[in-house]
Parts: sequence; structure tokens; C-alpha cells
Amino acid sequence: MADLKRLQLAVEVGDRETAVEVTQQAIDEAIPPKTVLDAMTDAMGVVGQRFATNEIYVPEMLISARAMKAAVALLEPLLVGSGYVAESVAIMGTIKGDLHDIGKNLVALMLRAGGFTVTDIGIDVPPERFVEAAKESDADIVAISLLMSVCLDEVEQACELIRRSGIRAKTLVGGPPVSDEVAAAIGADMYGGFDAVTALQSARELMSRIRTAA
Amino acid sequence: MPAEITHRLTGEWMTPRRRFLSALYRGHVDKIPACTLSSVVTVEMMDLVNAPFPEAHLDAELMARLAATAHDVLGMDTIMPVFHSQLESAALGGHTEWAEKDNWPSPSSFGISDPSQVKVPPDYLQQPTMVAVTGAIRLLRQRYPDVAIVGKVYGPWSVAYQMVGIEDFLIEVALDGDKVRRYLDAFLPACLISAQAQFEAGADAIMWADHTTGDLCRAETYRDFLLEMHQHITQSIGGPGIFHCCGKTIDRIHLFAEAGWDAFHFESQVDAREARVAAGERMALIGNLNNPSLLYQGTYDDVYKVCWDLMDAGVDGLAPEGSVPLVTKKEPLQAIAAAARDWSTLHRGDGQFVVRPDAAASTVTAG
Repeated sequence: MADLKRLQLAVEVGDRETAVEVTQQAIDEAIPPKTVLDAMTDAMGVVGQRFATNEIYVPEMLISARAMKAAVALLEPLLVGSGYVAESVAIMGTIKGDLHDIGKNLVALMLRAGGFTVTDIGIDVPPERFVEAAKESDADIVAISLLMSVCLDEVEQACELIRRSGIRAKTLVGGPPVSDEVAAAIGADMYGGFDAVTALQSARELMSRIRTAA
Repeated sequence: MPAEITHRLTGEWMTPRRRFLSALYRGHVDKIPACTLSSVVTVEMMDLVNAPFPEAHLDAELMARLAATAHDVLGMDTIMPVFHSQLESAALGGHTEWAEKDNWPSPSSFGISDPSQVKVPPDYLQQPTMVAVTGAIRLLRQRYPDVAIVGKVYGPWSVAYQMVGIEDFLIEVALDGDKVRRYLDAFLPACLISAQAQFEAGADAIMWADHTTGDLCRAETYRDFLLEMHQHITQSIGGPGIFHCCGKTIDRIHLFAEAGWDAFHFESQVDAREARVAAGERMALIGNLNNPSLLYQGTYDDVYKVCWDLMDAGVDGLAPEGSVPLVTKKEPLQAIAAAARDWSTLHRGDGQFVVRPDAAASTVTAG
């Protein structure tokens, strides 16, 4: 019998081999894919909390993310087949001029674990590409990541373009150079917080505001 | 009976070079130096001296001319000519996208997946990035004999980020410490050669960056992988060493001091007073003006005030925390040298030397 607690622990400690093994076992036993996904989502919640309290750091979070990603890859065809639809849609990218993807990848993982469908449009993304991608996906949220403060003017441009384009997506901006004040000054709808855990919280809050306004 | 002194050196009597070097060792200074340890060039400066990116990254004359605006236009006591982070990685064969005038170069692919793949080519110092930087330093040394010239080196941890990829490298930190050490040992010679070449070209000090920031990894990671290596580096590089590490570092500043770094260039996430206590008396502190909300979005007066707070907190040199955004206006940047001048005038107790403040005296947080 597939032990989902064992799966959860495997994701928490970054044991990719065990995560894949138990997931395959769960698939073989026809355990509902959403049930298996929820176990991993719970595990990432634990990982997120440990990260937020500095019990673990990015290396440990990365190996947990790697374990979950490998296991989810087995589940994905079954999730689609079962009619599972995520609640909200987000576009994620690192702004033009910045090739760092580590923050973006961690946030994308937390958003997926938190029930978002996430389209990752990569790194060094020009402002206009965020608008295009948001239109293509009818996104609720455009999440823009940057590590380098030197790219802030590009983020400002992206927020301006999104606002002027008339699309319904709201902008969430995050990374070390950003704060509530900086996000407001550059025209973003919300600051994404200082790590992947707060990014998920911020995204949920933004969705709450969107639904309230609708 | 000692002879009476009839002539005294008062006011700003030191050259910028002497001032900066004295500050690095927490010695007597006539004025707190205003420093550029990271890039302060902007599109405005590129237009002023007709030395644009990306050409200025690989042309010694353009690089020197653009870097000199830090002193000539902004009034800084130092000139630092390395605007990008790819000096060593490009010379090692890493692929670099040099970008445009209003953008920064970056690694365009990560070619290394095992330490055995790292090779320092015999013509390493003849690679374009090395030729440009050492050439620029030579030109600056000739043209600015009284200004401090600071070189820049990316250390083995940071070069690994660029050539292995941050994510892949940090996964190894979690899973295979031995491989991490082999990576560091493999990249170190290239970093040391770069430092020594810049000193030989005429640099007064080297800013050495190894990004084991608290935003990415625990303090023990620095201690276990880099402390001993850095103790070797500070004894080997051939001149004064300034360590740079971005982001949250308060829990590891004491380790940087233990490594033997003469100074630490720190960022605005760290409270200057807490940093002063952590560094103690043996390591100078240079920083930590915030880039995005202060230098990029703030006014001259905003920057001027924060500079005063930082000097009250006991920093040994004022500097932006990292490379400033390329569209930053020059006026906020000019406030740094002005603040250093005015604060030092007020605090030059005997007319000759600045009196260092008590680090515990105030609770104002800088940045």
C-alpha cells in the first residue's frame, strides 16, 4: 500500500528517489492523483514554514522542490485526465536584464503547490512579453521576479504596459530589491514578499482582492 | 623640550588614495571616504564621456574613462573599473551575453557540471575581459596617481554560480559537499591570478565577492566551505582585500573578520550599528546605501541624511550597496561625497582627523 506519509516525508527532506517510488506505487494502486498531490502540497507547506523560520535555507528547499517536481511529473497526465483544474492562473518570469531564476523557480513551485496553474515564461523577459503571455493564458496574476535592483526600471515598464493594455491580470513583484514601498512606487499591484512562502500568501491575498472586486 | 608646532595639516589634507587606504585599516582619516566598490556608472555618465556599454566592458580606454566619472563627476575617493561580474568566468570560457547600453552582461549558458571540467587556459590573462580590466587599471593609475583604484574579483563560490548555475550549485551544497569543495579548489587559481594581475596593474585594493548570503544559505555554509579558503586568500592576494557579500549577513560578519578581510562591503539589509559590533575593531565596514529605494528613487537630501546616519553608526567608508541601476540620476549619488565632506568637517576634532563615533550612541537604522 502506497504510504503517503512516506511520500510527504520524502518531499520534506528532498529524497527524490523515494518520492518518485511512492508516487508510482500510488498511481499503480489507483489512488486519486489529487490525493497524492495534496500530500506533496502539505509537504511543501512544511518546507515553506521551515524556510520562513530559517530552519532550512535555499539548498534544502531546492532539493525538496526537485523531489516534488519529479513526482508531479508522473502525476500530471493523470491530473489532466481527471479534470483537475487549478483555481487561479499565474504567469511567472524574471525581468529583462536579469538571468536569475532561482527565486522564480521556488515561487512557481509554491504557487503550484498552493493550487495555481503557473506558466513560467523564463528569464530575461522583456516587458511586452509579460503582456502577451498574460493574454494567452487569460492570467489572473503576472508575477515578476528580479534579483538585481538595476532591473527595476524594466519592471516598472512591465507594470505600466500591463496596466495600459486593458487585460485583467494584476501584477505581483518580488525579489531582494523589492519592498512594499518599491512595489507601490513602480506601479505593481502587490509586493510578493521576501521569500517563496510569503509569495504564495501574497498571491492568495491578491486573488482575494480580485474576487472581492469582481 | 619638544619644539613648538608652527604649521599643522588641517581640513582635507589627505589625498583620496591615502584617505581610502588608511580607512581600510581603520586608521586616522581627515574625512570618511566616499567609495565605489561596485559599479556606479549610469547611462548618463556613458553619454557624458562617450563610453557606452557594451563596448566599455572590453575596451580599456572606454572602461577607464567611464570608471573615472566616479571621481570626476561624483567626487568619490575611489575608482573601480569593473562594471560587470563576468571577469573571471568569461576568461575561463564561460559564455557571456554582453547586452546593450542600458542593460547588464550576464552568463548566457552554464557549461560546467563537474569540477574536472574547469581548466584555467594558459592564455587566461590574455583573454579580452582580463586585458580590458588590467589595461584600464594601468591607465587609471597613470592618470589618477592620488585616487584609490579598486579592482574586483569574483571568488570561486560566485564563479561557480555563474558557470555551474546557482540552482545546480546550491543543490550540490545540500547533497554533495565534497563536490562543492572540488569546485571551489578548481576555480580558486583563476580568481587568485585575477587579483594578483590587478594589483600588478596598479590597483590599491581588491574587492573580492563570494556570495554566501543569508538570503541563500546558512552562516555555517560560509564557515564550512569558505572560511579556511578565505584565510588562505587574504594572505595570498598581494594587497588589501575588501570582502563583498550581498544581502543578509549579520550572522556571519564575525566569520568574515576571522577570515582576515581588511574590510567588508555590506548591503542595506544589515543594520550598520549591528554590523559595527559584529565586525569589532579589526575589520573596516564600507556601505551600505540602499540602491532601489534610496539611490534610485530617493532625492539628494534623502541620500545626504542617510549618509550622516551611517557615519554616526561608525562605518569607515560610504558606498552604494551594489551596482546602481543604470538610470540612477547623478544628483543623489553626488550627495554621498558631499555628506562625507560635511560630516567629517563637523567631526574633525583636532582639525586633522575625524573622531570615530561611539557605535552604541544612536538607534537610527541606516538604509
